[in-house]
Amino acid sequence: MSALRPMGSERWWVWLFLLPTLLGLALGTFGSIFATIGLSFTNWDLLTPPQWAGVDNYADLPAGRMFTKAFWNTLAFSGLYVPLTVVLSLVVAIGLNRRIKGIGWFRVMYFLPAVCSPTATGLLWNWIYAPDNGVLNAAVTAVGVSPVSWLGPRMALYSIVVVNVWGAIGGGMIIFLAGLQAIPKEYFEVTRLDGATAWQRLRFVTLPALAPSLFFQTVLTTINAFQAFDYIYVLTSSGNGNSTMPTLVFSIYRSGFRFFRMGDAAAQAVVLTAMIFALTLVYFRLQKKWGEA
Amino acid sequence: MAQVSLNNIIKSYGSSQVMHGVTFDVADGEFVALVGPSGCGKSTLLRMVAGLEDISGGTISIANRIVNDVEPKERDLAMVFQNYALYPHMTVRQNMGFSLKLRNAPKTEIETRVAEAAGILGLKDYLDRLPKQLSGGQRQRVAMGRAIVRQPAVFLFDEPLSNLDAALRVQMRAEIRALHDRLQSTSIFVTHDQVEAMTMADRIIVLRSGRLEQAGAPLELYDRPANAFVAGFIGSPAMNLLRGQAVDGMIKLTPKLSVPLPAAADGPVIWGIRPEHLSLVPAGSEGALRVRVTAVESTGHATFVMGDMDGIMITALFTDRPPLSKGDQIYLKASPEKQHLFDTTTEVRIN
Repeated sequence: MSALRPMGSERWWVWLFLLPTLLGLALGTFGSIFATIGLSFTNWDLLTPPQWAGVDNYADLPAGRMFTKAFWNTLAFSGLYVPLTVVLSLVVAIGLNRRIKGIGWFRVMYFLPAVCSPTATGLLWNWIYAPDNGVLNAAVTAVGVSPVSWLGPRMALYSIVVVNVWGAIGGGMIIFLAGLQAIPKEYFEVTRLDGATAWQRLRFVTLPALAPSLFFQTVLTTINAFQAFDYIYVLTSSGNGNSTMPTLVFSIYRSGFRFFRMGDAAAQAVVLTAMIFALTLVYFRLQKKWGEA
Repeated sequence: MAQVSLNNIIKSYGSSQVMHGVTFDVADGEFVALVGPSGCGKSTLLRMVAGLEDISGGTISIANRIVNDVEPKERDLAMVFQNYALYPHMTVRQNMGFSLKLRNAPKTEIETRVAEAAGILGLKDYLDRLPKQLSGGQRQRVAMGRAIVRQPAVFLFDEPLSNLDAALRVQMRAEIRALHDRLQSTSIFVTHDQVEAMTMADRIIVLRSGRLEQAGAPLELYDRPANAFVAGFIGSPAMNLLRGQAVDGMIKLTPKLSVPLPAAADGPVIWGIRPEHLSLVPAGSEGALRVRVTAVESTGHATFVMGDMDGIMITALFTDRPPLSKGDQIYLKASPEKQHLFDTTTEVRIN
C-alpha cells in the first residue's frame, strides 16, 4: 500500500484532481441536504428573505390535507409497487435465465423501459389510459364494458402502479439475472440427481441463493417507491397543478414550486427522508435476524 | 449395488465429436478410476452416466437396464462434486437429509440414516453447523455423507479431492477407499491425479481425447502399459520415453548412443524405462549409459537425478542417497526385464 501513497508535491495534484468531485459533493449533495434541513425551520417564498419559523412547518404537517393525502397515497403505492416489482422482476429473470434462441433480444425488450425517459413513455401511457380515445378504453368498450376513467381518483393508484412496475421490472431483472447466474450449476445438478421438482428447486436452491439480491432489490425498490414522481406527474397532474393521486414527492414539488412555500416543502422532504431511512434500518434488522445467505 | 456398462459411447457437440466410442464395464462393487489429462472426457463420461449430459451414441446401462433416456433421479446413483455443492443455508444435518426429504421419507427414517452416515464419517459433532463453519475436509465428508444416506446403487465421484491440500488428500483417499470397502458399492471415481487412481482403484481406465487408451488393474498399467501415452501418464516421475532406430538388435538413440533392443523390432521405435528401473553402475560396465548430471533433487526418501546423455534428457530415481551433484559423470544401466518398447507411429506396445 505504501507504494501507492502520494508523496511530496504529488499530494497537491491529488487534491487538485479531486477538487471538482469534492466541490460537487460538498455543495451539491451535502450542501442541499443541510440547506433543506435549515430551510425546513423557516418560511421562505423564494423572493423575500427566509424568516425563522421554528418547528411550525413540522407541526402543521399532520393538519395539512395535501400532505396527509400524499402520505397515505405513498404508503398505498409502495405497498403495491414494492412486492409487485420484486416478484415480477424475479419471475422475468428466472424466465429469461436460460439458453434459448434470441434470449438476448428478450432481455433487451424487458430492459428497454428502464433506459427510456419516463416523461416520454409517460406520454405513451397517457395515450393508453386516455378516457375517450385511449387504447385501453377502446379494448374495454370492444368487449362491451363501459369506459373506465383510468387516471381518475378511483383507478389512478392502480394505473400508476402498473406503469411504475412496468418501468422498474427491467432494472430488477438485471440484478436477479446476475444473482441467478452466480449460482454454481452443481447445486442444480445435485437436485436433479436427488429428484427435486421445479418448485423444490426454486424453494430450496434458487431463492436461498438469491437472498442477497432479493434484499438489495427490496431496499432499492422501496426507496424508489417513496421517491416516485415522474410518471405520477406526467400522468395524473391536472390543469390546476393538483393530481388525482398526489404522492409525497409530488406534494413537496407542489408546495415548493407552485405555492412557493419552501419551508413547508423542506419539512416534508425531511420527513420523507426520515421515513426512507427508518424503513431501510428495518430491512437491515430483518436481514440480520434471518441471516445472510 | 449394480453393474454399470458403457457401450460404444459417442458424444458430439454440433459437428465436433469429443467422445469416440468408449466401451467398458464396471462390475458390481468395483471401484473404478477414470483418469486422463484435462479435456480427455473423463468428467463428461461420468456426467453421462449420471444423466446430467446427453449421449450422442451408444448405450449406458445400470443394473442391466439401459438408462439412455432415464432421468438422473431414476438412475439410483449419487454424485460427489469437486466443489462439494453443499447448500450454504442448510446445516450439515439438513444437507445430508435433503434428498430423503425431497422423496418425502418419514422423519424418523431421515434421522436414523443421517445419524448412521454421520457416525461412519465422524460428523456427529458437526450436524448443526453450516458448511461455511467447516474445514475443507469436513465439507468433503458431508458431501459424501449426503451421497451415503441415499444408499444408491452407484457412487460417482467427480474429482472430489482436488480442492483439498496435499496432506488431507492423502487422508481422504484412504477414507474414501475404506468407505467403499465397507459399503461394497459400485464406485466410479474421476481424477486427473494418477496417484489417486493408483492408490484407490481396483481398476483404472485411462482416457485421452475421448478414447479409451487402456483399462486394467493399477499395477498392470504400471508394469505393462499398452501404449506410450499410458506409459508416460501412469507413474511419477514419468517414464523416460526415448525415440530411436531399431537396427541389428540395438536401439540407436543418437549416432553415438545405443541400447540393446529388448524385443524384436525394426525401424523407428520408442524405448521406455522408468526412472526407478535405472541403476548406478561402475564405469565400463556392459550396456552402461554415460550420463552427465544436470540436476539432483531429493525428497528425503528418494533422490531424483536428471541427466544428459549425448543430448538426450533422462531421469533416474534412487531410494538410497547417492552422493551426486550437478556436473558429475555417472553410468546408468536399465534393468533388462523392465524395459518397454513402443511403435513410433501407433505408440502401441511392441514387447
